[in-house]
Amino acid sequence: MKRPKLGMPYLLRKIRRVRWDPQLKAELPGCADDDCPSDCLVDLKTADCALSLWHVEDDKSNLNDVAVALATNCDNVDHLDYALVAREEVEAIGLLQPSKGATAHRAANEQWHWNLVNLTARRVAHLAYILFRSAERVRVSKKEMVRLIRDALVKQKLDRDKMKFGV
Amino acid sequence: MSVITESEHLVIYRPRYAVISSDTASRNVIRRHCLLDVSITAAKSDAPSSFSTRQIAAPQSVEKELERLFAECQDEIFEDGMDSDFSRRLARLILTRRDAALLELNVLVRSARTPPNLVAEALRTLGGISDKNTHAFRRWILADLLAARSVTVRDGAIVGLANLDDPSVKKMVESRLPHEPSEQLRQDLKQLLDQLETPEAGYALSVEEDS
Repeated sequence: MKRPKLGMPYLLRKIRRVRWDPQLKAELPGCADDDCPSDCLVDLKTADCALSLWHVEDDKSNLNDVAVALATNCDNVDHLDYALVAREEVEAIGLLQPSKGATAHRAANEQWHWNLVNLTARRVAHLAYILFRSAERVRVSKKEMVRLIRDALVKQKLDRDKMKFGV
Repeated sequence: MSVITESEHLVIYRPRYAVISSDTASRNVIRRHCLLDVSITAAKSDAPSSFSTRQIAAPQSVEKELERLFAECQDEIFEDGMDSDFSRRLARLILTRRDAALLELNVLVRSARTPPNLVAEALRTLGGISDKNTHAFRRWILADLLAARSVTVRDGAIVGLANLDDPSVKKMVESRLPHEPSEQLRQDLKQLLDQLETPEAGYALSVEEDS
């Protein structure tokens, strides 16, 4: 499996951005400075004590491909919210293992999918706080996602059979 | 032929309902003036009294059906781009019962007892429905809830309006921008305004269709 060189890259996780909005924390009585709303944990659902994450190069050159990969895993084309955090911050929490992705994007599956493994409840909560404190949280509009998916289809990056929708 | 500006259009075609809905807990009659400035399109005497029987009240079955839907789905976890039982059922209800369902939904989404997460999902769903008959009413609910107290609900309204893709709400979005306390949502409102500059053909209603 081809793996990228590691400079100062990022890790990306699909989220619902409003769950991470500092304004939501402000609405939550008794939320301490070093804490975040529990709804953030909804976006960090683990399976087999592992969390799926996507590697993004330090120059973000593969960011659109990763966004497309995540979008093609959905039932419908929609806007995409994601959190982007420095890889080294996540590495401090647990072990990152390369893993093949299960999206329609062939290159993304092979090159950029990782699992954060051996997670405990405390480690997930710690990760949530790190994402809340330092992640860049971005929304890509539905129209932009349609454009990116169409572009990826034209460039034959996607396996159409794995997509549940057309654009 | 007179020219109607976008903001005038939004006001003129705001649904002219006084929603009379039974609150199941207290059976109180709630009168809701959806028309903020009745003088624009109707005489003030047109607004019904609390005891009026002139207005169309939504059949109770719609109210019950919506309440059951909200109760059954209150623990559902929603994810962008993924179908949900709640959104499928809500869309079906609105497409079949139209204004009767929207009248009741308009009350539910403003109730303090309805979880913001569920309200937000309802708003996202409202924007994604393609139905000319209910377009104006759905647009009004979405635009009005840009000023909701909950950041989660406001986010749902923004996503709903993005899905609706109707440029006639631009003025309302612009007017909301300076008052939005969330930095994230201010970004989203700006993104929405950019999107509404070039709406997808066929998404929004023309003025003729909207009348």
